Amino acid sequence: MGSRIEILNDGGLRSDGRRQHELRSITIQLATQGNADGSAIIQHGLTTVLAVVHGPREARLRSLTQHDRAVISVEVQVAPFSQGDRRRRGKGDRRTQELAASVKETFETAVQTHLYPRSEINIYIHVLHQDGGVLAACVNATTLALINAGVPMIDYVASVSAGTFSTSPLLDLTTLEESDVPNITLAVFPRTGKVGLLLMDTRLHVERFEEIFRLAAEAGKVIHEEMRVAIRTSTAGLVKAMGGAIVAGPGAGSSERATKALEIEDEEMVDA
Amino acid sequence: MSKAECSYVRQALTASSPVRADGRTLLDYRTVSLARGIIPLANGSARVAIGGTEVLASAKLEVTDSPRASISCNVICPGSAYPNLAPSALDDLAGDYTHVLNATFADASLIPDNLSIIPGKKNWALVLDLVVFSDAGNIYDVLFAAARTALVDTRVPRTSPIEYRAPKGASASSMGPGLGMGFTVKREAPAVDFEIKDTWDEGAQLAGADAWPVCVTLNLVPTVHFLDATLLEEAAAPHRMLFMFSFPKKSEAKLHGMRLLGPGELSMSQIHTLLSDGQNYAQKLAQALDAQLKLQDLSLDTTPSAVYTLR
Repeated sequence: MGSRIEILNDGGLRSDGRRQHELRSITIQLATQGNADGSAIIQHGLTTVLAVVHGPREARLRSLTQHDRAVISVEVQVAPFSQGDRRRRGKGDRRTQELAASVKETFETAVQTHLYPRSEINIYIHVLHQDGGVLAACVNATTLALINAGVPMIDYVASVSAGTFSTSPLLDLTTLEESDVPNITLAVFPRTGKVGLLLMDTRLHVERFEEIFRLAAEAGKVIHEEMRVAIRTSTAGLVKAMGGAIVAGPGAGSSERATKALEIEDEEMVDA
Repeated sequence: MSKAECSYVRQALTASSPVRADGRTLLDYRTVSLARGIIPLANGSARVAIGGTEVLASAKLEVTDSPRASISCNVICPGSAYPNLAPSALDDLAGDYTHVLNATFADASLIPDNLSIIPGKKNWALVLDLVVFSDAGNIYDVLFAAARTALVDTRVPRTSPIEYRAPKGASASSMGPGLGMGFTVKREAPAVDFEIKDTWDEGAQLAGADAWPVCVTLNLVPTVHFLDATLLEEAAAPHRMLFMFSFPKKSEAKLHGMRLLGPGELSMSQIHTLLSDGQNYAQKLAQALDAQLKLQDLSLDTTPSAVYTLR
Protein backbone atom coordinates (compact mmCIF):
# COMPACT_ATOMS: atom_id res chain seq x y z
CA MET A 1 0.00 0.00 0.00
CA GLY A 2 2.83 2.31 -0.88
CA SER A 3 0.65 4.91 -2.55
CA ARG A 4 -1.74 5.36 0.37
CA ILE A 5 -2.73 8.98 0.81
CA GLU A 6 -1.86 10.45 4.19
CA ILE A 7 -4.70 11.93 6.16
CA LEU A 8 -2.36 14.32 7.96
CA ASN A 9 1.26 14.56 6.98
CA ASP A 10 4.22 15.62 9.05
CA GLY A 11 3.91 19.21 7.90
CA GLY A 12 0.39 19.41 9.33
CA LEU A 13 -1.28 19.37 5.91
CA ARG A 14 -4.21 17.19 4.94
CA SER A 15 -4.71 15.32 1.68
CA ASP A 16 -6.28 18.33 -0.01
CA GLY A 17 -3.72 20.80 1.31
CA ARG A 18 -5.76 22.19 4.17
CA ARG A 19 -4.61 22.62 7.73
CA GLN A 20 -6.21 20.65 10.57
CA HIS A 21 -8.77 23.24 11.58
CA GLU A 22 -9.33 24.73 8.16
CA LEU A 23 -12.78 24.61 6.58
CA ARG A 24 -13.30 24.09 2.88
CA SER A 25 -14.30 27.04 0.73
CA ILE A 26 -18.00 27.87 1.05
CA THR A 27 -20.08 29.11 -1.86
CA ILE A 28 -23.71 30.10 -1.36
CA GLN A 29 -26.31 30.93 -3.98
CA LEU A 30 -29.82 31.94 -3.01
CA ALA A 31 -33.14 31.82 -4.88
CA THR A 32 -31.88 29.56 -7.67
CA GLN A 33 -35.28 27.99 -8.35
CA GLY A 34 -37.78 30.60 -9.42
CA ASN A 35 -40.85 28.40 -8.99
CA ALA A 36 -40.18 27.62 -5.32
CA ASP A 37 -40.86 29.73 -2.26
CA GLY A 38 -37.23 29.50 -1.24
CA SER A 39 -34.13 27.76 -2.52
CA ALA A 40 -30.42 27.73 -1.92
CA ILE A 41 -27.33 25.93 -3.12
CA ILE A 42 -24.37 25.53 -0.80
CA GLN A 43 -20.97 24.16 -1.70
CA HIS A 44 -18.45 23.04 0.88
CA GLY A 45 -15.46 22.39 -1.33
CA LEU A 46 -16.87 19.89 -3.83
CA THR A 47 -19.91 18.78 -1.81
CA THR A 48 -22.89 20.48 -3.42
CA VAL A 49 -26.42 20.43 -2.05
CA LEU A 50 -29.54 22.18 -3.35
CA ALA A 51 -32.45 22.74 -0.97
CA VAL A 52 -35.88 23.82 -2.18
CA VAL A 53 -38.69 24.93 0.13
CA HIS A 54 -42.37 25.04 -0.69
CA GLY A 55 -44.53 26.41 2.05
CA PRO A 56 -46.00 27.08 4.46
CA ARG A 57 -48.98 26.07 2.39
CA GLU A 58 -52.14 24.06 2.52
CA ALA A 59 -51.35 20.40 3.06
CA ARG A 60 -51.98 17.97 0.26
CA LEU A 61 -53.49 15.45 2.65
CA ARG A 62 -55.65 16.87 5.41
CA SER A 63 -55.12 13.76 7.48
CA LEU A 64 -51.42 14.55 7.89
CA THR A 65 -51.89 18.00 9.39
CA GLN A 66 -51.57 19.01 13.02
CA HIS A 67 -54.18 21.32 14.56
CA ASP A 68 -51.70 23.53 16.36
CA ARG A 69 -48.62 23.61 14.16
CA ALA A 70 -47.19 23.18 10.70
CA VAL A 71 -45.94 19.80 9.58
CA ILE A 72 -42.45 19.68 8.09
CA SER A 73 -41.75 17.06 5.46
CA VAL A 74 -38.30 16.44 4.08
CA GLU A 75 -37.49 14.58 0.90
CA VAL A 76 -33.91 13.84 -0.06
CA GLN A 77 -32.96 13.04 -3.63
CA VAL A 78 -29.38 11.84 -4.09
CA ALA A 79 -28.49 12.36 -7.73
CA PRO A 80 -27.14 9.28 -9.52
CA PHE A 81 -24.21 11.35 -10.76
CA SER A 82 -23.24 12.65 -7.33
CA GLN A 83 -20.58 10.01 -6.80
CA GLY A 84 -17.86 8.49 -8.92
CA ASP A 85 -19.80 5.28 -9.53
CA ARG A 86 -23.22 5.85 -10.91
CA ARG A 87 -25.71 4.52 -8.43
CA ARG A 88 -29.43 5.02 -8.56
CA ARG A 89 -30.72 5.37 -5.02
CA GLY A 90 -34.42 4.75 -4.66
CA LYS A 91 -36.57 6.65 -2.20
CA GLY A 92 -36.55 3.78 0.23
CA ASP A 93 -32.79 3.72 0.49
CA ARG A 94 -31.78 3.55 4.14
CA ARG A 95 -29.07 6.19 3.97
CA THR A 96 -31.36 8.64 2.19
CA GLN A 97 -34.13 8.03 4.74
CA GLU A 98 -31.73 8.65 7.61
CA LEU A 99 -30.58 11.89 6.04
CA ALA A 100 -34.17 13.06 5.64
CA ALA A 101 -35.13 12.04 9.17
CA SER A 102 -32.13 13.86 10.71
CA VAL A 103 -32.89 17.06 8.82
CA LYS A 104 -36.59 16.87 9.72
CA GLU A 105 -35.89 16.44 13.41
CA THR A 106 -33.46 19.34 13.45
CA PHE A 107 -35.79 21.76 11.76
CA GLU A 108 -38.85 20.81 13.73
CA THR A 109 -37.15 22.56 16.63
CA ALA A 110 -35.74 25.41 14.61
CA VAL A 111 -38.80 26.47 12.63
CA GLN A 112 -41.53 28.35 14.46
CA THR A 113 -44.20 25.88 13.39
CA HIS A 114 -46.76 27.11 15.91
CA LEU A 115 -47.34 30.11 13.67
CA TYR A 116 -48.83 28.00 10.87
CA PRO A 117 -51.33 25.48 12.19
CA ARG A 118 -52.81 22.91 9.81
CA SER A 119 -50.29 23.69 7.10
CA GLU A 120 -47.31 21.98 5.55
CA ILE A 121 -43.74 23.03 4.89
CA ASN A 122 -42.09 20.85 2.24
CA ILE A 123 -38.32 20.72 2.05
CA TYR A 124 -36.74 18.99 -0.94
CA ILE A 125 -33.04 18.35 -0.82
CA HIS A 126 -30.99 17.43 -3.88
CA VAL A 127 -27.51 16.10 -3.26
CA LEU A 128 -25.69 17.03 -6.45
CA HIS A 129 -22.14 16.10 -5.57
CA GLN A 130 -20.84 14.13 -2.60
CA ASP A 131 -17.42 14.73 -1.17
CA GLY A 132 -17.89 14.28 2.57
CA GLY A 133 -19.95 16.31 5.03
CA VAL A 134 -23.17 15.64 3.14
CA LEU A 135 -25.49 15.82 6.16
CA ALA A 136 -23.88 19.07 7.29
CA ALA A 137 -24.30 20.56 3.83
CA CYS A 138 -27.95 19.42 3.76
CA VAL A 139 -28.64 21.17 7.06
CA ASN A 140 -26.90 24.37 5.97
CA ALA A 141 -28.65 24.42 2.61
CA THR A 142 -32.02 23.89 4.32
CA THR A 143 -31.39 26.78 6.71
CA LEU A 144 -30.63 29.09 3.81
CA ALA A 145 -33.59 27.91 1.77
CA LEU A 146 -35.97 28.39 4.71
CA ILE A 147 -34.67 31.90 5.32
CA ASN A 148 -34.95 32.63 1.60
CA ALA A 149 -38.55 31.44 1.74
CA GLY A 150 -39.25 33.75 4.65
CA VAL A 151 -40.17 30.96 7.05
CA PRO A 152 -39.70 32.21 10.62
CA MET A 153 -37.11 30.34 12.64
CA ILE A 154 -35.71 30.76 16.14
CA ASP A 155 -32.14 30.89 14.86
CA TYR A 156 -29.88 29.82 12.02
CA VAL A 157 -28.80 26.19 12.08
CA ALA A 158 -25.12 25.85 11.23
CA SER A 159 -23.65 22.42 10.73
CA VAL A 160 -20.22 20.93 10.17
CA SER A 161 -18.53 17.55 10.30
CA ALA A 162 -15.48 16.92 12.47
CA GLY A 163 -13.27 13.98 13.20
CA THR A 164 -10.05 12.99 14.85
CA PHE A 165 -6.97 11.39 13.32
CA SER A 166 -5.41 9.54 16.28
CA THR A 167 -5.10 12.57 18.55
CA SER A 168 -5.40 15.41 16.03
CA PRO A 169 -8.87 16.83 15.52
CA LEU A 170 -9.89 17.60 11.92
CA LEU A 171 -12.69 19.84 10.68
CA ASP A 172 -14.93 19.57 7.60
CA LEU A 173 -14.01 16.16 6.30
CA THR A 174 -13.83 14.99 2.72
CA THR A 175 -14.95 11.53 1.57
CA LEU A 176 -11.45 10.19 1.93
CA GLU A 177 -11.18 11.38 5.51
CA GLU A 178 -14.73 10.36 6.47
CA SER A 179 -14.09 6.77 5.51
CA ASP A 180 -10.85 6.66 7.44
CA VAL A 181 -11.30 8.53 10.72
CA PRO A 182 -14.01 8.50 13.43
CA ASN A 183 -16.23 11.50 12.87
CA ILE A 184 -19.29 13.38 14.08
CA THR A 185 -21.75 15.75 12.45
CA LEU A 186 -22.87 18.62 14.63
CA ALA A 187 -25.53 21.28 14.06
CA VAL A 188 -25.75 24.25 16.42
CA PHE A 189 -27.95 27.25 16.93
CA PRO A 190 -25.18 29.86 16.85
CA ARG A 191 -26.71 32.60 18.99
CA THR A 192 -27.48 30.43 21.97
CA GLY A 193 -24.83 27.81 21.34
CA LYS A 194 -27.45 25.08 21.74
CA VAL A 195 -27.09 21.84 19.84
CA GLY A 196 -29.71 20.93 17.25
CA LEU A 197 -28.22 17.74 15.88
CA LEU A 198 -25.37 15.46 16.88
CA LEU A 199 -24.71 12.34 14.88
CA MET A 200 -21.96 9.78 15.06
CA ASP A 201 -21.81 6.51 13.16
CA THR A 202 -18.28 5.49 14.01
CA ARG A 203 -16.47 4.53 17.18
CA LEU A 204 -14.72 7.34 18.96
CA HIS A 205 -12.69 7.28 22.16
CA VAL A 206 -14.57 9.17 24.85
CA GLU A 207 -11.53 11.32 25.69
CA ARG A 208 -11.36 12.61 22.12
CA PHE A 209 -15.02 13.54 22.01
CA GLU A 210 -15.04 16.78 24.01
CA GLU A 211 -12.24 18.28 21.95
CA ILE A 212 -13.81 17.71 18.56
CA PHE A 213 -17.25 18.64 19.90
CA ARG A 214 -16.03 22.07 21.03
CA LEU A 215 -14.13 22.57 17.81
CA ALA A 216 -17.18 21.73 15.73
CA ALA A 217 -19.28 24.17 17.76
CA GLU A 218 -16.74 26.93 17.04
CA ALA A 219 -16.73 26.02 13.36
CA GLY A 220 -20.52 26.22 13.40
CA LYS A 221 -20.24 29.86 14.43
CA VAL A 222 -17.89 30.57 11.52
CA ILE A 223 -20.26 28.94 9.07
CA HIS A 224 -23.12 30.93 10.59
CA GLU A 225 -21.21 34.11 9.82
CA GLU A 226 -20.76 33.06 6.18
CA MET A 227 -24.46 32.31 5.84
CA ARG A 228 -25.40 35.61 7.44
CA VAL A 229 -23.21 37.56 5.03
CA ALA A 230 -24.76 35.78 2.06
CA ILE A 231 -28.30 36.43 3.28
CA ARG A 232 -27.62 40.09 4.02
CA THR A 233 -26.01 40.64 0.62
CA SER A 234 -28.94 39.11 -1.20
CA THR A 235 -31.50 40.95 0.94
CA ALA A 236 -29.64 44.22 0.40
CA GLY A 237 -29.91 43.62 -3.32
CA LEU A 238 -33.64 43.06 -3.04
CA VAL A 239 -34.13 46.12 -0.86
CA LYS A 240 -32.18 48.23 -3.32
CA ALA A 241 -34.36 47.00 -6.14
CA MET A 242 -37.51 47.67 -4.14
CA GLY A 243 -36.27 50.93 -2.67
CA GLY A 244 -35.86 52.37 -6.14
CA ALA A 245 -39.50 51.60 -6.90
CA ILE A 246 -41.09 52.63 -3.61
CA VAL A 247 -39.59 56.06 -3.14
CA ALA A 248 -40.03 58.63 -5.90
CA GLY A 249 -39.03 61.54 -3.67
CA PRO A 250 -35.81 62.54 -1.91
CA GLY A 251 -32.99 60.01 -1.95
CA ALA A 252 -32.37 60.17 1.83
CA GLY A 253 -35.75 58.53 2.45
CA SER A 254 -34.89 55.41 0.46
CA SER A 255 -31.56 54.74 2.15
CA GLU A 256 -33.21 55.15 5.55
CA ARG A 257 -35.88 52.71 4.51
CA ALA A 258 -33.17 50.35 3.30
CA THR A 259 -31.29 50.35 6.59
CA LYS A 260 -34.55 49.94 8.50
CA ALA A 261 -35.39 46.91 6.41
CA LEU A 262 -32.04 45.30 7.21
CA GLU A 263 -32.56 45.96 10.91
CA ILE A 264 -35.99 44.38 10.80
CA GLU A 265 -34.46 41.30 9.16
CA ASP A 266 -32.13 40.96 12.14
CA GLU A 267 -34.96 41.35 14.63
CA GLU A 268 -36.99 38.66 12.86
CA MET A 269 -34.61 36.08 14.30
CA VAL A 270 -36.18 36.38 17.73
CA ASP A 271 -35.86 33.71 20.36
CA ALA A 272 -39.03 31.68 20.58
CA MET B 1 -58.10 24.73 -14.25
CA SER B 2 -61.63 25.95 -14.72
CA LYS B 3 -63.63 25.63 -17.92
CA ALA B 4 -63.77 29.40 -18.20
CA GLU B 5 -59.96 29.63 -18.12
CA CYS B 6 -59.58 26.86 -20.68
CA SER B 7 -62.03 28.39 -23.09
CA TYR B 8 -60.42 31.80 -22.59
CA VAL B 9 -57.03 30.44 -23.60
CA ARG B 10 -58.40 28.41 -26.52
CA GLN B 11 -60.36 31.32 -27.91
CA ALA B 12 -57.31 33.55 -27.78
CA LEU B 13 -55.28 30.92 -29.65
CA THR B 14 -57.82 30.29 -32.37
CA ALA B 15 -58.69 33.97 -32.91
CA SER B 16 -57.88 35.58 -36.25
CA SER B 17 -54.94 37.39 -34.68
CA PRO B 18 -53.84 34.91 -32.03
CA VAL B 19 -52.80 36.14 -28.59
CA ARG B 20 -50.83 34.28 -25.96
CA ALA B 21 -50.53 35.27 -22.31
CA ASP B 22 -46.89 36.29 -22.56
CA GLY B 23 -47.24 38.04 -25.90
CA ARG B 24 -45.47 35.38 -27.98
CA THR B 25 -46.62 34.37 -31.43
CA LEU B 26 -47.88 30.83 -31.97
CA LEU B 27 -44.50 29.59 -33.12
CA ASP B 28 -42.21 31.44 -30.68
CA TYR B 29 -40.10 29.58 -28.19
CA ARG B 30 -39.27 31.07 -24.81
CA THR B 31 -35.65 31.80 -23.97
CA VAL B 32 -33.48 28.73 -24.46
CA SER B 33 -30.43 28.51 -22.23
CA LEU B 34 -27.91 25.75 -22.26
CA ALA B 35 -24.82 24.78 -20.31
CA ARG B 36 -22.63 21.77 -20.97
CA GLY B 37 -19.93 19.92 -19.10
CA ILE B 38 -21.22 21.02 -15.73
CA ILE B 39 -20.87 17.76 -13.82
CA PRO B 40 -17.18 16.93 -13.51
CA LEU B 41 -17.73 13.30 -12.47
CA ALA B 42 -19.93 12.45 -15.45
CA ASN B 43 -18.65 11.57 -18.91
CA GLY B 44 -21.03 14.11 -20.38
CA SER B 45 -23.54 16.51 -18.90
CA ALA B 46 -25.82 19.36 -19.81
CA ARG B 47 -28.42 21.63 -18.33
CA VAL B 48 -31.07 23.02 -20.63
CA ALA B 49 -33.82 25.46 -19.75
CA ILE B 50 -36.61 26.66 -22.03
CA GLY B 51 -38.51 29.38 -20.20
CA GLY B 52 -39.04 28.06 -16.69
CA THR B 53 -38.64 24.39 -17.56
CA GLU B 54 -35.22 23.14 -16.53
CA VAL B 55 -33.67 19.70 -16.92
CA LEU B 56 -30.22 18.47 -15.92
CA ALA B 57 -28.83 15.51 -17.86
CA SER B 58 -25.76 13.44 -17.08
CA ALA B 59 -24.25 10.67 -19.17
CA LYS B 60 -22.17 7.98 -17.47
CA LEU B 61 -20.33 5.17 -19.16
CA GLU B 62 -20.16 1.74 -17.56
CA VAL B 63 -18.40 -1.34 -18.86
CA THR B 64 -20.64 -4.29 -19.71
CA ASP B 65 -19.88 -7.79 -20.86
CA SER B 66 -22.83 -7.80 -23.20
CA PRO B 67 -22.07 -8.30 -26.90
CA ARG B 68 -23.39 -4.88 -27.85
CA ALA B 69 -23.13 -1.34 -26.57
CA SER B 70 -26.32 0.25 -25.30
CA ILE B 71 -27.85 3.57 -24.38
CA SER B 72 -30.51 3.77 -21.69
CA CYS B 73 -32.32 6.74 -20.21
CA ASN B 74 -33.69 7.34 -16.77
CA VAL B 75 -35.82 10.36 -15.84
CA ILE B 76 -36.22 11.51 -12.25
CA CYS B 77 -39.17 13.74 -11.34
CA PRO B 78 -38.49 15.05 -7.85
CA GLY B 79 -41.17 16.51 -5.61
CA SER B 80 -39.54 19.95 -5.85
CA ALA B 81 -40.45 20.21 -9.53
CA TYR B 82 -44.00 18.99 -9.03
CA PRO B 83 -44.96 20.18 -5.56
CA ASN B 84 -48.64 19.34 -6.00
CA LEU B 85 -48.30 15.73 -7.02
CA ALA B 86 -48.43 12.66 -4.81
CA PRO B 87 -45.32 10.42 -4.82
CA SER B 88 -47.08 7.71 -6.81
CA ALA B 89 -48.09 10.24 -9.43
CA LEU B 90 -44.47 11.38 -9.60
CA ASP B 91 -43.31 7.84 -10.24
CA ASP B 92 -45.89 7.43 -12.99
CA LEU B 93 -44.81 10.65 -14.63
CA ALA B 94 -41.13 9.71 -14.44
CA GLY B 95 -41.99 6.33 -15.90
CA ASP B 96 -43.82 7.93 -18.83
CA TYR B 97 -40.96 10.28 -19.66
CA THR B 98 -38.41 7.47 -19.29
CA HIS B 99 -40.39 5.30 -21.64
CA VAL B 100 -40.64 7.97 -24.34
CA LEU B 101 -36.93 8.77 -24.15
CA ASN B 102 -35.88 5.14 -24.17
CA ALA B 103 -38.10 4.38 -27.14
CA THR B 104 -36.09 6.90 -29.16
CA PHE B 105 -32.56 6.74 -27.76
CA ALA B 106 -32.21 3.05 -27.07
CA ASP B 107 -32.63 2.23 -30.74
CA ALA B 108 -29.76 0.24 -32.19
CA SER B 109 -29.33 2.50 -35.20
CA LEU B 110 -28.33 5.41 -32.97
CA ILE B 111 -25.54 3.67 -31.12
CA PRO B 112 -22.24 5.25 -32.11
CA ASP B 113 -19.19 3.22 -33.20
CA ASN B 114 -16.79 4.23 -30.49
CA LEU B 115 -18.92 2.73 -27.73
CA SER B 116 -17.39 -0.68 -28.26
CA ILE B 117 -14.22 -1.62 -26.40
CA ILE B 118 -13.58 -5.18 -27.54
CA PRO B 119 -16.12 -6.02 -30.24
CA GLY B 120 -18.45 -8.73 -29.07
CA LYS B 121 -16.92 -9.01 -25.61
CA LYS B 122 -16.79 -5.71 -23.79
CA ASN B 123 -18.72 -2.59 -24.53
CA TRP B 124 -19.67 0.68 -22.97
CA ALA B 125 -23.20 1.03 -21.70
CA LEU B 126 -24.20 4.67 -21.65
CA VAL B 127 -26.68 5.61 -18.95
CA LEU B 128 -28.42 8.96 -19.25
CA ASP B 129 -29.86 10.34 -16.02
CA LEU B 130 -32.20 13.28 -16.40
CA VAL B 131 -33.40 15.28 -13.41
CA VAL B 132 -36.33 17.65 -13.90
CA PHE B 133 -35.64 20.71 -11.78
CA SER B 134 -38.75 22.61 -12.73
CA ASP B 135 -41.59 22.14 -15.19
CA ALA B 136 -43.26 25.20 -16.71
CA GLY B 137 -44.60 23.41 -19.74
CA ASN B 138 -43.10 21.78 -22.86
CA ILE B 139 -41.19 19.22 -20.84
CA TYR B 140 -40.60 16.79 -23.73
CA ASP B 141 -38.72 19.31 -25.84
CA VAL B 142 -36.49 20.16 -22.90
CA LEU B 143 -35.89 16.51 -21.96
CA PHE B 144 -34.79 15.66 -25.48
CA ALA B 145 -32.68 18.81 -25.78
CA ALA B 146 -30.93 18.02 -22.49
CA ALA B 147 -30.35 14.39 -23.48
CA ARG B 148 -29.03 15.42 -26.87
CA THR B 149 -26.68 18.03 -25.43
CA ALA B 150 -25.35 15.65 -22.79
CA LEU B 151 -24.67 13.07 -25.50
CA VAL B 152 -22.84 15.60 -27.65
CA ASP B 153 -20.82 16.58 -24.58
CA THR B 154 -19.90 12.97 -23.75
CA ARG B 155 -16.31 11.90 -24.03
CA VAL B 156 -15.43 8.20 -24.23
CA PRO B 157 -12.17 7.15 -22.53
CA ARG B 158 -9.65 5.77 -25.01
CA THR B 159 -9.00 2.08 -24.50
CA SER B 160 -6.64 -0.44 -26.02
CA PRO B 161 -7.26 -4.19 -25.92
CA ILE B 162 -4.86 -6.51 -24.12
CA GLU B 163 -4.35 -10.10 -25.11
CA TYR B 164 -2.97 -12.79 -22.83
CA ARG B 165 -0.97 -15.50 -24.60
CA ALA B 166 0.11 -18.80 -23.06
CA PRO B 167 3.92 -19.24 -23.21
CA LYS B 168 5.24 -21.32 -26.19
CA GLY B 169 5.65 -25.09 -25.67
CA ALA B 170 2.77 -25.48 -23.32
CA SER B 171 0.20 -25.69 -26.09
CA ALA B 172 -0.47 -29.43 -26.29
CA SER B 173 -0.18 -30.33 -22.62
CA SER B 174 -2.33 -27.40 -21.58
CA MET B 175 -5.23 -28.88 -23.45
CA GLY B 176 -5.42 -31.81 -21.09
CA PRO B 177 -4.68 -35.52 -21.40
CA GLY B 178 -6.10 -37.43 -24.33
CA LEU B 179 -6.62 -34.39 -26.41
CA GLY B 180 -3.18 -34.58 -27.96
CA MET B 181 -4.21 -37.73 -29.82
CA GLY B 182 -5.07 -36.20 -33.10
CA PHE B 183 -8.46 -34.71 -32.34
CA THR B 184 -9.05 -31.31 -33.85
CA VAL B 185 -10.18 -29.10 -31.08
CA LYS B 186 -11.45 -25.60 -31.73
CA ARG B 187 -8.93 -23.19 -30.30
CA GLU B 188 -10.44 -20.85 -27.79
CA ALA B 189 -9.68 -17.20 -28.35
CA PRO B 190 -7.05 -15.84 -25.98
CA ALA B 191 -8.41 -14.13 -22.86
CA VAL B 192 -9.20 -10.52 -23.60
CA ASP B 193 -9.13 -7.47 -21.46
CA PHE B 194 -8.58 -3.82 -22.04
CA GLU B 195 -6.81 -0.95 -20.44
CA ILE B 196 -7.58 2.71 -20.34
CA LYS B 197 -4.74 4.43 -22.08
CA ASP B 198 -4.60 7.53 -19.94
CA THR B 199 -6.69 8.02 -16.83
CA TRP B 200 -6.28 11.79 -16.99
CA ASP B 201 -7.39 12.07 -20.59
CA GLU B 202 -11.12 12.63 -20.86
CA GLY B 203 -11.23 10.73 -24.11
CA ALA B 204 -12.59 11.10 -27.58
CA GLN B 205 -15.89 12.76 -28.33
CA LEU B 206 -18.77 10.35 -28.70
CA ALA B 207 -19.28 9.65 -32.39
CA GLY B 208 -22.44 10.53 -34.27
CA ALA B 209 -22.95 13.91 -32.64
CA ASP B 210 -25.07 15.11 -35.53
CA ALA B 211 -27.35 12.09 -35.46
CA TRP B 212 -29.05 12.72 -32.12
CA PRO B 213 -32.75 13.54 -32.45
CA VAL B 214 -34.43 16.69 -31.28
CA CYS B 215 -38.06 16.70 -30.19
CA VAL B 216 -40.63 19.30 -31.10
CA THR B 217 -44.10 19.35 -29.56
CA LEU B 218 -46.94 20.71 -31.64
CA ASN B 219 -49.89 21.57 -29.42
CA LEU B 220 -53.16 21.17 -31.27
CA VAL B 221 -56.30 23.24 -31.07
CA PRO B 222 -59.06 22.85 -33.67
CA THR B 223 -57.75 25.24 -36.31
CA VAL B 224 -54.10 25.90 -35.48
CA HIS B 225 -51.10 24.42 -33.75
CA PHE B 226 -48.64 26.23 -31.50
CA LEU B 227 -45.24 25.56 -29.97
CA ASP B 228 -43.69 25.75 -26.53
CA ALA B 229 -46.81 25.75 -24.42
CA THR B 230 -46.84 27.00 -20.83
CA LEU B 231 -48.56 24.90 -18.16
CA LEU B 232 -51.80 26.83 -18.56
CA GLU B 233 -51.78 26.41 -22.32
CA GLU B 234 -51.03 22.69 -21.98
CA ALA B 235 -53.98 22.25 -19.64
CA ALA B 236 -56.24 24.14 -22.03
CA ALA B 237 -54.98 22.26 -25.09
CA PRO B 238 -54.01 18.74 -24.01
CA HIS B 239 -54.02 17.32 -27.54
CA ARG B 240 -50.49 17.35 -28.93
CA MET B 241 -48.14 15.68 -31.37
CA LEU B 242 -44.48 14.97 -30.66
CA PHE B 243 -42.02 14.62 -33.51
CA MET B 244 -38.43 13.45 -33.06
CA PHE B 245 -36.26 14.49 -35.99
CA SER B 246 -32.56 14.31 -36.54
CA PHE B 247 -30.56 16.18 -39.17
CA PRO B 248 -27.36 14.27 -39.90
CA LYS B 249 -24.85 16.22 -41.97
CA LYS B 250 -24.26 13.69 -44.70
CA SER B 251 -27.83 12.55 -45.34
CA GLU B 252 -31.39 13.78 -45.34
CA ALA B 253 -33.46 14.41 -42.24
CA LYS B 254 -34.59 11.36 -40.31
CA LEU B 255 -37.77 10.83 -38.32
CA HIS B 256 -37.09 8.86 -35.15
CA GLY B 257 -40.48 8.87 -33.58
CA MET B 258 -43.93 10.30 -33.58
CA ARG B 259 -46.34 10.36 -30.68
CA LEU B 260 -49.89 11.63 -30.44
CA LEU B 261 -50.87 12.48 -26.88
CA GLY B 262 -54.10 13.59 -25.33
CA PRO B 263 -57.73 13.36 -26.31
CA GLY B 264 -58.53 14.07 -29.93
CA GLU B 265 -58.15 12.68 -33.41
CA LEU B 266 -56.45 13.71 -36.61
CA SER B 267 -57.08 12.94 -40.25
CA MET B 268 -54.27 11.60 -42.41
CA SER B 269 -53.98 14.84 -44.38
CA GLN B 270 -53.64 16.78 -41.14
CA ILE B 271 -50.85 14.50 -40.05
CA HIS B 272 -49.06 15.09 -43.34
CA THR B 273 -49.17 18.86 -42.86
CA LEU B 274 -48.09 18.59 -39.25
CA LEU B 275 -45.21 16.35 -40.27
CA SER B 276 -43.74 18.81 -42.73
CA ASP B 277 -44.31 21.75 -40.37
CA GLY B 278 -42.79 19.75 -37.53
CA GLN B 279 -39.68 19.10 -39.58
CA ASN B 280 -39.18 22.82 -40.16
CA TYR B 281 -39.61 23.66 -36.50
CA ALA B 282 -37.31 20.83 -35.45
CA GLN B 283 -34.64 22.03 -37.84
CA LYS B 284 -34.80 25.54 -36.41
CA LEU B 285 -34.66 24.22 -32.85
CA ALA B 286 -31.72 21.97 -33.68
CA GLN B 287 -29.87 24.88 -35.26
CA ALA B 288 -30.51 27.07 -32.22
CA LEU B 289 -29.27 24.37 -29.86
CA ASP B 290 -26.19 23.72 -31.99
CA ALA B 291 -25.37 27.41 -32.09
CA GLN B 292 -25.53 27.61 -28.30
CA LEU B 293 -23.39 24.47 -28.04
CA LYS B 294 -20.70 26.04 -30.19
CA LEU B 295 -20.67 29.11 -27.97
CA GLN B 296 -20.34 26.94 -24.87
CA ASP B 297 -17.45 25.06 -26.37
CA LEU B 298 -15.48 28.22 -26.86
CA SER B 299 -16.03 29.64 -23.41
CA LEU B 300 -14.53 27.21 -20.95
CA ASP B 301 -14.72 29.76 -18.20
CA THR B 302 -17.06 28.02 -15.80
CA THR B 303 -16.34 28.63 -12.15
CA PRO B 304 -17.60 25.91 -9.80
CA SER B 305 -20.35 28.09 -8.37
CA ALA B 306 -21.54 29.24 -11.77
CA VAL B 307 -22.21 25.82 -13.13
CA TYR B 308 -25.26 24.94 -11.10
CA THR B 309 -27.34 27.95 -12.02
CA LEU B 310 -28.26 29.22 -15.43
CA ARG B 311 -28.47 32.99 -15.24
